[in-house]
Amino acid sequence: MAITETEVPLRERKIWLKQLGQSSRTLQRQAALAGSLVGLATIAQLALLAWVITALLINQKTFPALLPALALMLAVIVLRALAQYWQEAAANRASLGVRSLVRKQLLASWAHLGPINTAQQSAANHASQLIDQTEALDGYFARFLPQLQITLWVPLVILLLVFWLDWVAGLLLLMSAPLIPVFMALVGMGADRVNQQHFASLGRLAGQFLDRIRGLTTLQLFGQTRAAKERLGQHSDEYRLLTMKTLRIAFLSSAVLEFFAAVAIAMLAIYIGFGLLGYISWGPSVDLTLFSGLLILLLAPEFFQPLRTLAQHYHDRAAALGAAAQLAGIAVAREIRGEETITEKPADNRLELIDLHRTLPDRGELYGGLNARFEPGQLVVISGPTGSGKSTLLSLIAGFQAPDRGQLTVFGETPGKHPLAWLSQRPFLLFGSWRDNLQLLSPEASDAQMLEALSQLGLSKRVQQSPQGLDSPVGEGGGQLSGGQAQRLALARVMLSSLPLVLLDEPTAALDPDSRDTVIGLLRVLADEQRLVIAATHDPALIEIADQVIDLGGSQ
Amino acid sequence: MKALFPWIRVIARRKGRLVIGALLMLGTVLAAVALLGLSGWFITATGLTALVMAVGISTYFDVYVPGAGIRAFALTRTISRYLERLYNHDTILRLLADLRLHLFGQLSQINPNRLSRQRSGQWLNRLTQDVDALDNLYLRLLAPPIVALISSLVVAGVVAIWLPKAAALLLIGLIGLLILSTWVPARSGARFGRQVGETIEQLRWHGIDHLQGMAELKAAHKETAHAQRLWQAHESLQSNQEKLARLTALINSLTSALLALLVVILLVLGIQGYLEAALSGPVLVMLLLATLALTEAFAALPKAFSQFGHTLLAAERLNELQEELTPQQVTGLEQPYMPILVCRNLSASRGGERLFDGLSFQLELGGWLVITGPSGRGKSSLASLIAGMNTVDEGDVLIHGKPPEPWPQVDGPECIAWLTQETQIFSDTVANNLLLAKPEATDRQLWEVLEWVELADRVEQSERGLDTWVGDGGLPLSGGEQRRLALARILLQDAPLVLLDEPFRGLDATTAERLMLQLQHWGKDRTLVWFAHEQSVLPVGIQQIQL
Repeated sequence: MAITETEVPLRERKIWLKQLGQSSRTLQRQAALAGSLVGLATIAQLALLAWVITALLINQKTFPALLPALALMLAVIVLRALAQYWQEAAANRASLGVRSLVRKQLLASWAHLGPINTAQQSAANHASQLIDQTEALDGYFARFLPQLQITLWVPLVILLLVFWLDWVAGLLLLMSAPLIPVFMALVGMGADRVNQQHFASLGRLAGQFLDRIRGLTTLQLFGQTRAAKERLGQHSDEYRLLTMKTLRIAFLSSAVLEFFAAVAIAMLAIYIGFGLLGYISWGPSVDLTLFSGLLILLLAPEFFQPLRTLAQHYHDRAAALGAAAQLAGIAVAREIRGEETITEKPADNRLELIDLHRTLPDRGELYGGLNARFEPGQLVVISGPTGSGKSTLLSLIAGFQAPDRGQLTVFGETPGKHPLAWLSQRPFLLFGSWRDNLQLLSPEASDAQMLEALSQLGLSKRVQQSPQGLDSPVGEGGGQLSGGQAQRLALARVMLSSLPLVLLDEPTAALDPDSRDTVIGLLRVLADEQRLVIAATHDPALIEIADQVIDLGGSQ
Repeated sequence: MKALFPWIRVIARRKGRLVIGALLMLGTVLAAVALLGLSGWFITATGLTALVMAVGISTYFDVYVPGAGIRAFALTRTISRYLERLYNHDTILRLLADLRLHLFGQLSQINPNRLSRQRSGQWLNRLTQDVDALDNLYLRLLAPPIVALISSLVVAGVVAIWLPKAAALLLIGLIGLLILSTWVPARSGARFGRQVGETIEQLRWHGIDHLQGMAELKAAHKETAHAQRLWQAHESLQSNQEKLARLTALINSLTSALLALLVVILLVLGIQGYLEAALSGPVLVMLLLATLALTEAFAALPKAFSQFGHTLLAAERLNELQEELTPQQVTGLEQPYMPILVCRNLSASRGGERLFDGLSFQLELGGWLVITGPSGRGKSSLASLIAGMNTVDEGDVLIHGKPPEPWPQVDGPECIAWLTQETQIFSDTVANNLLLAKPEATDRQLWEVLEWVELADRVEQSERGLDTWVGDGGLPLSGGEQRRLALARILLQDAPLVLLDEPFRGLDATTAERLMLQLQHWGKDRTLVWFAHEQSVLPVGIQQIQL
């Protein structure tokens, strides 16, 4: 599983992120508002500090006279803390909302794609979209976006205040203000480059590491684990040197920002000092007081702080854009298509195929007008060589795909309209207990019924051996289920349900002789319960006991 | 906490780098403290001097030394920040490599049978995430609290010059702040952090279940019901995440409030000191601003430490993997016997189910044996028993008269080449993929085996020949071509006993038949066990055992 570059262009990813953000606009505004309040409270706190110092040193105020201001400072501290909490909580809720939305869209798109199309990609890949990529959006919505808004106007307030205090000092700050967009671009480009380089090489390294671990058996087989470890180390070193070369340049951009911020503070400090001493005889500096001077000095770092914070969160943006590359392509699920009309009113107690056609791109026309009719109580076998369309026919009956031509009705309805039982070649077991697995299709099944079904399939011993009984997890602790046992468990599930149609794909292919006999016997039992059982197989034993055999190889 | 020790030990091997990195961090913080403190002192001093001058008393005030100091600290701060970021990024990359190599080294001594017991290979996914969770150990959890502590000590020490009592109080407050921003979130967030880690896992399983079982679920009209179950996992994840985020937000705001409160307390004590003439006005401002500048040292701590539970969980899971470690056994080198394979009364079962019973056969040098049977009947298990990857419960396997060494052996199983059913082609060059089997092989030998498996043309056509990259982002090889490359690797290995598990898996019948001829020629003097389906292309006229 490599880090793959996908085709979704950067512009589209940005648009996608923006649209996602729409859903939590209110919370984001709240976060930005609260963040700005934090900024204002900080300004107030610094102003109070400057005032107290001036009152003490210049105006010779006594301690009791300072108390109200000190009390006010405490109040501002509390206010600031509350606003800060509000900012973070709101931003986090915005991000949670966005992640919820993305998961919802993913689930909807899975449902829309259906079992055949989702299987084009590995389940692990899909799951990684659902978990890892979605989680990667967090920082962007929880930190970067609110900070972006704060960066836009908290410095503005500070600038206005400084202008009011002393316009030359204001000008000094303003001189760097037009530079701020330049800074932002610089930081942005630098950070983008850092992230691209950094993420790319980290991704490559992680890929190699995984690759080697996945092939551990092979390496052990050839006695090459030590050599592989050395090579991994070498690669890491090579990548590191390469990355550091880029980082040396890329970090410069944020160093420039830091430099300007530091120089601006130093310049202001010296300007104010000279002004207070009266060395500067022009402009507003004549009117500088210790209060205004001190306050300007205190505000100067706050002027740059939001931008520096933004720069720190820049990698959140890069991570979100990376995730967007995978997620922006999610097909937004459309409404489930309308019912297909059936020309003739079909009989409602059987399954009918009339002049069925289906062409697959890599295999051509499969059935060439297949006609068949099955009734409840029958055990039907679809046989034929590999590639003759056995599994496809099952998925047509299940309604996972539609035929190109012809009519297919299941008990008088379009395929998929009625619930039915489906058993794939590799039986599906739920991550959970035996009970979870058995009650999947029939939630109301009682313990006694479940145990009965298990004993019919020769599985009850495994459950009884475990102290937790039906609640013990499947395939954990005591060892995995073999293919045959898994198949039998899946069948027990079908038995417990009363689903009238049972479709099975190669039910006996991976079974040991004992399991195979049990399974074949059970299929007969299911049919005798007046269900319609259809199995795709080339197992002669199964073909032998079938009531009806559709040979797809023969019809071609 | 103990779970982290092995990983801290791995990191601690780079003691020098860690100390320098932390010193650079400290330098950045202290430069900021000094810059703000000195500026405050300077402005207040100039303000007061101006006041004196206004009364008409002429005084001399040296503006140049403090001015130079301010510029110097501004520059130091910028430079040390730049160096710190650069240096620590380098360190992080090195640590990441160290952690991975350490883990790889440990895993390579484990029998992979034990690993694959974890559900459907998903442990791999988790593994990378757990390692990633650990790579921040130094930069986020180890160095910052130390830097915060030292800078607190420095500031409190400076305050103590003028206000010893206030300094003591400040130090207590700062240590309290350190506890509040590290221990408290780590402790109170541990449960949520761990639950976040666990619920993420659950969500992943449910997601995978949903996808793998989609046909069953959709057919039975249970898709929505299961989606609801998945959604419950999502909601429980989000509820844990929200709790953790609220806690972090709370501690973040408490941290900054407490620091501001400390400044106010210092202000009150400083006012008293000033009125008692213990310190001058400019010094008072310097001390206040220096304390205020400590924000930088504390700001990032709560967030980092609220993730502690997750980090710990990652470390524990990785440790669990390592506990699977089998003790290494040192075996003396013996003169190899004639390669004879003996299986006596061999039985095997899987998940309580008998695969085969009382299997016995014997192979002389150069003998061939075909073992057939449908999948799931234990062909691969038999191969694992012979190679020593599975341990024999009943019966004996003897190679050159002695049982197979416990898996894994540092240099691979002696005298056995084994083409497993699933083979791995690494993201690497063709040559390196082949050389795994025989590091000293010449290019000519590599071309020869490629020729045998009919891949030579394909490789020749690509520009870089044997150095062509295969796997991720390289020459796209089809499943069949990958299989043939894996087969070539086995041919190159040149071992006396060869196990081939469905060697022609994924190949079409005509190619398989041509390769069969090559193999029969190649394997004339080798002892060979061939595992396959009855329907596969099989060597003819050879002793067969059916499972």
